[in-house]
Amino acid sequence: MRSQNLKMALQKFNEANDSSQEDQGFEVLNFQEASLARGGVLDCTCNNGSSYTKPTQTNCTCNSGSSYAAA
Amino acid sequence: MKFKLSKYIAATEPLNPESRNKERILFSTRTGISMLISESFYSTLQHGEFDKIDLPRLTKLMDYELIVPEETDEFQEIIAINRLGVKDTRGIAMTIQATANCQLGCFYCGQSHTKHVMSEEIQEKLMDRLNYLLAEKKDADGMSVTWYGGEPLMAYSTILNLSNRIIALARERKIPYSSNMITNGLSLKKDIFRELYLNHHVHRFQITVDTTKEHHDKRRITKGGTETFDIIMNNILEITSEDYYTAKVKRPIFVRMNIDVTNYQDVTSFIDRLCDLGLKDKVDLGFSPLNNWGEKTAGDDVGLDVMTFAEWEIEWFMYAYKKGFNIDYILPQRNFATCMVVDEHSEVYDAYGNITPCYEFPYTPKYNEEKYIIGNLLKESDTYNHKTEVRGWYDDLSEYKVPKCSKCNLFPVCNGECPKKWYNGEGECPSMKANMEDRLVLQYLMDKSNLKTL
Repeated sequence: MRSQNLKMALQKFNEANDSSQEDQGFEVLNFQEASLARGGVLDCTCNNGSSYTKPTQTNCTCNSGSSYAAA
Repeated sequence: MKFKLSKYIAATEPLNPESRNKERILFSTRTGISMLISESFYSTLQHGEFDKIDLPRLTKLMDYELIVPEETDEFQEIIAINRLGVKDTRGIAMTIQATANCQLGCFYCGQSHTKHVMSEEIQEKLMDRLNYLLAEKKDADGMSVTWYGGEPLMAYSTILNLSNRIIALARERKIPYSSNMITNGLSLKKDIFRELYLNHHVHRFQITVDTTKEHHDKRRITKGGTETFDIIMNNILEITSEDYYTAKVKRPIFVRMNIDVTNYQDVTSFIDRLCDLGLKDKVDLGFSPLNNWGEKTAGDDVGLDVMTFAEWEIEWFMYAYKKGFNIDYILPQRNFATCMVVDEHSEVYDAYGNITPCYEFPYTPKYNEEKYIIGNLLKESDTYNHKTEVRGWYDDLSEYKVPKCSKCNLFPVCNGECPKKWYNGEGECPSMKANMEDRLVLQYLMDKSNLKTL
């Protein structure tokens, strides 16, 4: 990290949020934004890289007739 | 099947090095997913000990493409996916540069301006071309126009005429239509804004203000040397105070700053000024490094180096965020198209009828050569050159002609950013290459805390 201001902000954040939790593995931070960028939901993947016909739907329908691999 | 950790990841250093349970942020550039990950779990991933991970979490990691099949050639796969993604794009995107005229004489502008405006004959041919593209792309699900120039508002009546015809065509075909404009803002009076915004679907106006009055009025001056800062800012203030300003979108005006060694230290002063004028909720902000343009080498002469720009950019993000501007999301997102040049259904039309793949080519002498031009609307379409240099970007990438890109972990969210620059031998990575870790941490802090109180 290069920004000194950011380093200070992070340090203050850490002081206020001292984590003593056990190992949780991982936590996704931006599921919604990343899903929107891909035009669908990340739990399903169009098998040829095509985007989704309806960004808000959850049934993983891909466009141009391609099928999908559901998680 | 064996798996490996994707090469398309970026990671921060541990956020909390003093803590017993250290965590860092891991970012998949294949999907744009960022995650907070414990140090022990990160170590498991790095060592490829996937058998230690339970199935639900393993499945998620595969969904997020952090783990990929071992035999995958990820670079070639990303290019293949990009090609399919572009092919699957069902929108038709046009950039119309209806005039070669502009009031301004900015020192860094590579365009050669004349008073030429698109003739009725060329407008007619442009509509023919649009009908042709629609016939070729029968499943088109969107049409968009970017109005640019020269200064587009110097061809206002031409824009209204074309806009009416394109909107009518979109209605007839039942295809959604959207539009935006790149303008210097000098002629963007509130009545003109109202007409374009409310009646012509222009919902985004990019106006360049090169930071404070002191700097702007040295560089974005008229050809006769007249200052423009006060006029442009007054236009913005009048427009943003109208009742209908947010009728279509929250912030129709996007203020772009071209930043170089002469004005970078006054970016925050300009942000303060916008704030004082009550514009923090009304406009979006964009920080752009000054680059070379055509034969003008301002980027070489007074541009900031990428590292310096990247460091300052983080400060500007933080400053604008704390001031209350809309700086909500600063992580790059997965994109299949580098830019318009890789999409054959995206074309630029200038006032002379020239069709080009890039909006920086019209009126710019450097790009008068055949290899940059698809054709001319006044000529038969079988004379068109569909293999202009920049259109072959993905072909050239796949042949490893741009080693920086084929080796870069950020490739899926960047794709080379600006192919034209690489072909010009001016290839330079965007700022995110130099400030990705800072972006990840800043995004995390913006999401998890309130920077304003820190």
